[in-house]
Amino acid sequence: MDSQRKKVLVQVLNLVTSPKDRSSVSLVCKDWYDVERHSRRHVFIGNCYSVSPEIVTLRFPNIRSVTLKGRPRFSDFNLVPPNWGGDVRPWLEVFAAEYPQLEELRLKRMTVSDESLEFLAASFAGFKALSLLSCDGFSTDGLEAIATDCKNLTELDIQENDIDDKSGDWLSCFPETFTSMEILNFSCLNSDVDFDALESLVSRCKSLKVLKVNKTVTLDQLRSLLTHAPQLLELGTGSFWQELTPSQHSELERVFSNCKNLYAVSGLWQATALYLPVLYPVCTNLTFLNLSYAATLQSWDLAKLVPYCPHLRRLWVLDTVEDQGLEAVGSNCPLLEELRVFPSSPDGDDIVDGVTGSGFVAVSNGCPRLRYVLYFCWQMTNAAVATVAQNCPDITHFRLCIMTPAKPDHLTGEPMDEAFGAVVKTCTKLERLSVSGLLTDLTFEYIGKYAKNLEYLSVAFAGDSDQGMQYVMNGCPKLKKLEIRDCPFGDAALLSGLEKYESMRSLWMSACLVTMNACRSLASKVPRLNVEVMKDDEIGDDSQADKVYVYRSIAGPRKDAPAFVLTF
Amino acid sequence: MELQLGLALALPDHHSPVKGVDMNVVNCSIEKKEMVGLESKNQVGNYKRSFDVAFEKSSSTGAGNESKMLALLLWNDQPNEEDEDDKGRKRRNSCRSIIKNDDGGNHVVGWPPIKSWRKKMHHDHDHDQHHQYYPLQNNQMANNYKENENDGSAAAANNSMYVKVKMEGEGIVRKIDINLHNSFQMLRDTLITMFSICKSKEGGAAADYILIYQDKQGDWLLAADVPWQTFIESVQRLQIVRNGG
Repeated sequence: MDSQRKKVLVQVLNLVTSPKDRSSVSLVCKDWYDVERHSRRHVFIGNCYSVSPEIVTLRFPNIRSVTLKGRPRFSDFNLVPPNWGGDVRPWLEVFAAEYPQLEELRLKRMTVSDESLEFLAASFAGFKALSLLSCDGFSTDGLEAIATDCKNLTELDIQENDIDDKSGDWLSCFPETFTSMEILNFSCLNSDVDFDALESLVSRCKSLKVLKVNKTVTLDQLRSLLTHAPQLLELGTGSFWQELTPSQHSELERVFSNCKNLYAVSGLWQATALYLPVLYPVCTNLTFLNLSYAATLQSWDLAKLVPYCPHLRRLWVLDTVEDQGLEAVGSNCPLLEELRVFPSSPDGDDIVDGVTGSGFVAVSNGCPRLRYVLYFCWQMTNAAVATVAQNCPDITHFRLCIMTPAKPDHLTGEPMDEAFGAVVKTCTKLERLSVSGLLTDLTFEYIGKYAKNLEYLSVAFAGDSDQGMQYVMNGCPKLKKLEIRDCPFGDAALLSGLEKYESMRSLWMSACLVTMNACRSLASKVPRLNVEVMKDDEIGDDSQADKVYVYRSIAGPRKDAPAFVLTF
Repeated sequence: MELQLGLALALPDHHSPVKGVDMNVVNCSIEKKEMVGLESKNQVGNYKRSFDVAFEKSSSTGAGNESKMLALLLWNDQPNEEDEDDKGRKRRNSCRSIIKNDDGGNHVVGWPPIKSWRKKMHHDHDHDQHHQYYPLQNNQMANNYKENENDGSAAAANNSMYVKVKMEGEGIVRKIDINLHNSFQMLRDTLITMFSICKSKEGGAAADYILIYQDKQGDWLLAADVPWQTFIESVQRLQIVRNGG
């Protein structure tokens, strides 16, 4: 290709950012492949073992931003033993050599040691953005290294991690000359931070857009922080309960009313009716409200709040708001696109009514634009779910968790097949589905037949026979991720996906009926799959494959697999 | 899908897998042991009494012999079905995902699918709830307790014994300091005040409720069936259930 054409193509490609589109571009012809690979700045690796860092850096020489995901999702629920893998260090070492200009690293479910963080801070002079989601292996010591050495840091986003929270001293490590922070999220950490250091940081970082503090920050301290940062777009508060004097209280109201750009609020630990009204001035502009840490919030508290939030698009709550709270949401938030209801007592230790089909229907009645639903409940009916699907046909993510395993329809005692049948038939854009309750193979017949856009399916305690999984493997053309636990799917089911697994990112099957022989057979028939079995020592039967993880890979079998991971 | 209930852990627990099996569902075989659970939907028979009576009565009338029920959710062939697999389906005992939990919950590994940091957050919340016993309207009661906490003697503060109180139908678990009371009457008054804020029922409401408590062995017993001292020494948590007559 002559250099003129190349220039034009590069200009055009700069506007093409989604990995899928760039992938398509690279398949047009050799020249386009070449131009694309040189001009790509961001690479997304959904499974760190599907490819090696050497292969990535060879193909894409000019990367500035990497997203890397490690462990299978069920590791969030303790189904993957510790030390399984997903260590970021090997990647960092290659990146240090090949991408010295790396600016952004976003990791999910990876293991990151303090040494790795130190290495990161030392290796990339222009490093700007670090996001760690559901990672493990590091402590606040590692954060100290980042704060001390990353002079150009704009983003530090630490979420949902399982780390050794030794102290809040890391926050004091940002030098006085450091002013570039734009996104700071340390809400999941528990230690006190030096408030003076935090306040000074917030004051001098004039470009700060997102600030999410942890719950050790008090209401009065928050008041002070907001005085310095009225320009915030997203705020995660600390504890939202404290005895304030009347003047402190009205000062708090005043600073909130000064935050004219705030569109997202989270944190709100211990929020109650007493202080929620200070949010009213910002509520009109709120599009995202996360009340899922506000464990004392009850239905009437929410009912009083939502009339002030007519532009809400995303709402996260606990089931303590109950159906009545959800009715209020349905009546007041017509633009709602996403609702997540989390359980306040997931282990069932405290008796909680939570939310039911009635609340679900109430929201769907008032919020026809719903697209993303995550709903934890103790009971549900087919009729309620069918009504929700009818009311909200644009749903793309439907995740319903009836927390008692294999629970039938609460009214009729029947399986919940028709509920999910209704969802897949009516919501034709459905991309993600999590099923629960008592389900027969019929549910999977519906899914295979109707869920033509489904990419991600999660199944637990469901189905009758291999046929169930076979329906899905033979049906859903766009399936990318399939996670199954505690279902009676065996070898025939596993092998029915022979032709499909290379087009998927991964398959997880645990506590099913798969044998080692079937895994061996799959691996030999489809060489570009890594077929891994995690042995559970407590289960004596050596012929059974307790936890099966199958994924496509061009990097071959793992070289770092621990002893309990067998690769076929 | 066949579910079989065998043994059960401590009750009452709405949300053990036991409850997931509706009694009326065909194909479920259930062995029902004696149930202590005073769920309003199930008739319990012997153990219903009015709230007043529950507090005043002190003699046992056999209410203390509730049996514990242990429940495991099993994916099991029915006992004699080994050879009757008419559809040629292989089924086997797949109960390994279940953990028995001695402190009263029925816990499946990794279920429900909630990230551990969220679960931790709820446990932490329980500790944080010390200052959130009552809705803030009830300043009177809150002051009452504040006075007791600040009454100067460190001993008093150190002897606080907080137990959770859950009322059937209420989404929120509250906590009270048992050691601030010295009789069932006092406890009753506190609870009536604490929970009547949330209920619109007036008047005879008290008669409709029974107070039960879980003791150190995990058994659920009627509160008034033991002397106050015994009660204080063994109470772990309280529950107010409706007298579903």
